[in-house]
Order: sequence, then structure tokens, then C-alpha cells
Amino acid sequence: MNPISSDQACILLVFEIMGVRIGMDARQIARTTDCHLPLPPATNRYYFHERVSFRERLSDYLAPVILHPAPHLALDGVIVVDQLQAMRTIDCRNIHRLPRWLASQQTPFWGVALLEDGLVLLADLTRLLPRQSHA
Amino acid sequence: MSEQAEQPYAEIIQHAEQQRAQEQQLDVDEETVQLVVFKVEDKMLAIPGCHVRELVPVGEIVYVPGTSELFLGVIPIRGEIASVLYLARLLGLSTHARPRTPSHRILMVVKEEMSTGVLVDAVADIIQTPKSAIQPHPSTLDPQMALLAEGQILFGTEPAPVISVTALFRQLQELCA
Repeated sequence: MNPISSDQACILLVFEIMGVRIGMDARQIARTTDCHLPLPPATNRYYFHERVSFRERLSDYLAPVILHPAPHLALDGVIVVDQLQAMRTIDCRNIHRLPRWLASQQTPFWGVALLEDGLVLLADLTRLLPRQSHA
Repeated sequence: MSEQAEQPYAEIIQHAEQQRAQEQQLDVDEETVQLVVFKVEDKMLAIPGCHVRELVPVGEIVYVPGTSELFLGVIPIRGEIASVLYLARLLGLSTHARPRTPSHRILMVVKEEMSTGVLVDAVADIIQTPKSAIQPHPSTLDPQMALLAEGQILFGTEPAPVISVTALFRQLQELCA
């Protein structure tokens, strides 16, 4: 199920990884922190490119930032993204499904936002981070 | 001018008229098909024009991480999002896309509810040809090409396999399942 169901507007946190502009539903993010700040003990840190293949693209992070998942998602760890841009409020009518040939594959992307300044791939954080395991 | 002198010309004209009438008869009787002829990695190929919605100049193709190498990414087109197939890789002709040139085009290929953009190096021509001009492809054709080709035509002196859109989408369904 798509994380955004509203037919009005939605807020995206937009960042860029290896030249690809990616957006995430802001409701999936609790907060962002500087990559150089220490994390709570035993927190798993995953880099975005480790969770999805960018083929042979170089994994250079110019301005890494940590995204902390919203607690209600019950996800394990945090994810490191790059070049955090502004929060974007977009009309949900500009969101499209991924074309069928791409949607059928193992990808964390569930859609594409068609904005005035180009396309933004929409990633679902629940497809990127593992679920918390309750011992 | 005497009647005798006119006679040879009259025969020529009559013969020419008969020839034209025969040709017109052929034109009416013979079913034709429109083909878009294009080049991929120096190989000439064709695809039925009835399945090509439009030819689009290549702008930015947005790469989608985590997807098959058969696809270069997605493009916006008329308010929608379309995938872009890297046909050269599907056909085993190349593993790395060539640098883009002004002659590159994306063919928007559509059949029923299925569609995709297809990156080609250049569109050579759009031709109307008799269906009978599509001959069975030779047994020596590359096996991967043979999976997709429904026959071949001669474009000038160069053989051009004709891609079956049905076979193309069937193969994508298998590969992307």
C-alpha cells in the first residue's frame, strides 16, 4: 500500500543520492541529524546505497544526513542519505505509479512525483529498513 | 504526321497504361504495413508503426535504482511517467549505452494496456511496405534477436529484423516478473 493516501497535498523530504533525486513521505521521518553526531548505543546505521543497488555508480556522499524513522513504523536503525534539500509540499495529483516493468521489481520506490523542476522518485522507508525484532 | 508514324507511340502509350493499371491493381489488392525503421548499435531494425505512439527526442532519463539493467529509467511524457527500455541490452548488442547524440530517439511503444519507451540510436525512416515484403528471418539470425523478430525486411540492401511487439512485451513480462 502506498504510504500516501491523501488526495490533497503531501509533504516530501527530498534528498539526492548519486545524482538521483529521491523523496520520502515526511510522516515516515521522526527527525534528521548530522551524520557526525553520535547515535544512541546499538543503533544500526544503514547507508541508502547499501539498501538498494545503484549498479556501478560511485557511492560518494557529499553532505550526509541521518534520517530517523518515525516510531510507529517500528523499523530498525537509521538511514544515511545525502544532500538533503527543502521539504516540498506537493499536490498528490502529481504523483504517479512507477511504470509496470519497474514496479514489479525489488525496489524501494513506489512512485514518481512529477514536479516543475523534474522528477522525484518516491521511496518507502519501510522497504529500506528492516523491521525491529522483539526479543 | 502520318498514321503509320503515330502507330509505334500509340503502342507505347497503350503498354504504359496497361502497366500502370496493373500496378494500381496490385496496390489495391496488397495489404501494406507501416514500419518504423531504426538503428541500434549499427544494426538496422524495424517495428510496426501501429504500435509506435510517438517518437520523442531524448531528454533526461531518470535512473531508478534497484531495477533491471534492461531499463535506463523513467521519463515524463505528456503528464505521465514512462519507462525507457535499453533495447540494445535486451538484444545482447551492448552492455553500456552509447553517449547520447541528437539523432537518438525514444519510441513510445504501446500495445493494449502495456507500454514502454524504447531508446534507439536513430530513426532511419517510416515506410509503408507490402506485408509480403516481410520475409521469414534466416535461421542464422542471433537467437536473442530471433526470439523478438517476426520476420525481416530489406531496407535498401540491409536486412532489418522486424520486432514483434507482442514478443517484446511477453519477454519483458517474463524478465520483470
